Amino acid sequence: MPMSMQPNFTGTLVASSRAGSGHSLLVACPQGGGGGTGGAAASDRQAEFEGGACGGIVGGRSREWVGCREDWWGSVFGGAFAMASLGSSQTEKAEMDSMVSECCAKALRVILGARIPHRQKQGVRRGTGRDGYDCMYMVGEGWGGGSTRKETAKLFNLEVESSDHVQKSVDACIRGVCHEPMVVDIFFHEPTEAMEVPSSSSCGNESSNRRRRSDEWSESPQRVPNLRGESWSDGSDGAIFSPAREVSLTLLERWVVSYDQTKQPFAEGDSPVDEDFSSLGQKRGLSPSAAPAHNVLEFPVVYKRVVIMLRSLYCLARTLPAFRLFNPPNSVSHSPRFSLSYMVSHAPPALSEQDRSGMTNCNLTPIETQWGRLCIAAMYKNVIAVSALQVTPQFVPEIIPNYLDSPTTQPLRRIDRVGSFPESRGRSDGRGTCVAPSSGSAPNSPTSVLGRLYSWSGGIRKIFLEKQVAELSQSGIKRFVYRPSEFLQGGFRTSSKVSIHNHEDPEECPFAIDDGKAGDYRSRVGSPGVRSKIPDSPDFQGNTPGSDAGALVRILSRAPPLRQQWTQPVLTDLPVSRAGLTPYHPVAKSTGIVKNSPPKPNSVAIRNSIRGRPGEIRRATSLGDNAGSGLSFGTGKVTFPPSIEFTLIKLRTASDVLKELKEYQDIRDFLVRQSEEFRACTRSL
Amino acid sequence: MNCEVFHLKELEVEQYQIREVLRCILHTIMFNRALGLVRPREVECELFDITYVQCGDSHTEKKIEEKIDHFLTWVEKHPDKKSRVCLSFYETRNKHVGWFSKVERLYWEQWCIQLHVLRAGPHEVKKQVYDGAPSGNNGETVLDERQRRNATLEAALRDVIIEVLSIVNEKKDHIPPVQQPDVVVSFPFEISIPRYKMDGRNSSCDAICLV
Repeated sequence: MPMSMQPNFTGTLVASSRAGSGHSLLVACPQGGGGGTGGAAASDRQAEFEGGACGGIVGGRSREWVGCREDWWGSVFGGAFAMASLGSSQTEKAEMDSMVSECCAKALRVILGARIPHRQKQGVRRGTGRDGYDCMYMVGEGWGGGSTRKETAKLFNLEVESSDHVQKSVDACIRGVCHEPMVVDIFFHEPTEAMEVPSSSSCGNESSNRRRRSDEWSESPQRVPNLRGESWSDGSDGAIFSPAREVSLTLLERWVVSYDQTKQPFAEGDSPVDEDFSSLGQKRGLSPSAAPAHNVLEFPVVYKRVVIMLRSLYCLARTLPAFRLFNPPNSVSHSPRFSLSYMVSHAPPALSEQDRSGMTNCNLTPIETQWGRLCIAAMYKNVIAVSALQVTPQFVPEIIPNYLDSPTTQPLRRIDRVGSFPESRGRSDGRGTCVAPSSGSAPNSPTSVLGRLYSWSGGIRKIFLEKQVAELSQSGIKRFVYRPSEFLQGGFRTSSKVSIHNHEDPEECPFAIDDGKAGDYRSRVGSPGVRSKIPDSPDFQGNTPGSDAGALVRILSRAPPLRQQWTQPVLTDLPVSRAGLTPYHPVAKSTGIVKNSPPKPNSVAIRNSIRGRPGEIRRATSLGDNAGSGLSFGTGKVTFPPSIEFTLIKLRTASDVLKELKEYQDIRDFLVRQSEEFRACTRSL
Repeated sequence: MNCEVFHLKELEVEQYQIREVLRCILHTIMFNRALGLVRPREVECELFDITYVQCGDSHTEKKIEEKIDHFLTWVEKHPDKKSRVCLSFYETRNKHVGWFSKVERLYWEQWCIQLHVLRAGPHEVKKQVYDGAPSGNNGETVLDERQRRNATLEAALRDVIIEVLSIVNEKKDHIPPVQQPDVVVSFPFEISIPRYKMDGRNSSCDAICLV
């Protein structure tokens, strides 16, 4: 059977023909491929059925609707059978054969549509010649391909659109051959270098290219080096697949669509499963049970069953593990470092033991007709084998060091969205999402879409990028489960749960308040937050670790620096105790260097101030007012009221630091107790 | 006409997983039973690495979401229970009784999705956290366990989908003829969720007629 095929792909299109044995078609989609050809000529089969009167098939039959519409049915089949006499067995057989052929075509589109990603579903062909394709995916010519193509796309009430190269594969493989099984092999390989471009890949002259192709195909095939477990038979397929270096092919799946007309419609007791397919690999639950078909099914009933079968095939193709490798372009699994190929043939090579191992069998229930049996079977690699082939996602979560020290960050930045995590309608991922791209986007600048949750303690800094649930579902970004152990430093971890308040008061730390919903939160979304003991320190006994962390953050942010030099004192939010004492004693050296002394008596002062309501925290203006003299900052020059004691401190010892730490811990404990009391009060209310 | 009842494999889910699990299964069944002209729409699960297919009928999607919301409300009131969501297809026939005629439903297929909703309470987390073990181990144990459960559920959900496809292909004789060829969803359906009676036993009767 002569076949004219034009390679659309750089050096990877394999097509050969040999009379009487069908043909094989190997198509690969390498990266950086070039070469394109003109549009394929209209399918002869389609041209055969174009036009024609309608109703020749269904006229006189039962009018039970089975999913076919007369207008479409007539356009596909009417031309050939308009004048056929109704009820003749030959007509019915021809009709059935036509439907089976179309079913095979549709099945091929469904399979390749789930395995061959195409970058553009609509668009103009990029160009002919060497610049036809610039990426690893075949750029389709667009969905529009004339009314006939649209009609065929809707066959069996399943609108499946396919790109040009898929359509060509369909045309080439099903042309007039419905008696031989159609085998679709899906391969996974990594062409790390660009494939060799055959000199004839350009398509300046379509006819000459076609001739050249046929010449190449007629030559003895080149063996693809280092194809694992492959033993291509000589002469059956002309391989012009000549990569620059070794390529390892992994057979992912084998789909077989067959219409076995040799067997009679089976009688009761016969197994409907084809032994050739069922013996390979491990049987899955889809092995059909013996369904005796004593009654000859009418054409409409057969058609309806074909519709259902194709639906199931569509779902199955997207359920099997290999689909995750060939997801739509927005998937992160698409990497230019791997490519894919498929081979459609009628006489596939035998599978090696290595290929068979790890394959699972999955057969759809065959459809029995009066003249044969239509079967669709699949063999596929299991999940583990496919997962091993998955490439590294484009971005991986990572810890951004010194994030909060970055001048671009503001630790007390307002957070837009609060509490969406536990309140989402069952969509929240209790595992916690950490989608921090390693490059590209700037994690330091929150956007209106992304809310940021800052959770840090003891020097561990991590950033959680929280997306809205709708964003997460629509973007297709995969979730990456993080573990707190990944962020472990020195054996200390904090909970990831923070309570963010969309508050107006800038004084309040985002992590401050425990609203009493921590338990509900954990129970509903299973916060992965883990509390642990701080080495050599008391436990954080607060119910919400976020509140503890928040309190500590607040304290530390206002803590005097340990260093001698004081760059920018923050006095605007100083709490003023009722006794009028400030928690800090700004100290000034005679030379102008000022430094805050550790708040020795301040613990009492702070407690006194905190015992009051948050509203009693006064601003530093009161300090200035009471002092009667202005305070100017930022100039390095500070004048203090005479009441403030100046103390010159040059060195700080470790004991001072430990003492200060102890004070902070006392403050923390006090805050926790306060929060508990507050919560108890609110509950009682 | 006999009513084919299919009991799918029971799934152990947590409350936050119910929505995605039900979406996946219900839409898969609907897609395979919508024999009208469909333009399939692939949807990726938010919680699992599974892609399921919708039939593209907005009316159907809306009804499914509503029913899932009702079920979630029921689950919140009855936590840690085994429950069942049933998707039934039926035909309508006019039945004449005396001078009156009423519309009768003849169910020809029913899919029973069995869920065992687990409750992950806060005590479960705290217990594992505060048992005095070194700090680095408790969190890993909890997380590992959660991830294992999630992976197990994902595999089980995938098996259920394949089970649905198997049943859809195997059982075809009972499917009635299509009366409305221009409609995407060829057969009227309803989704029923359980409802407790006064004696506390389960009963599946809170159904909403979806035509």
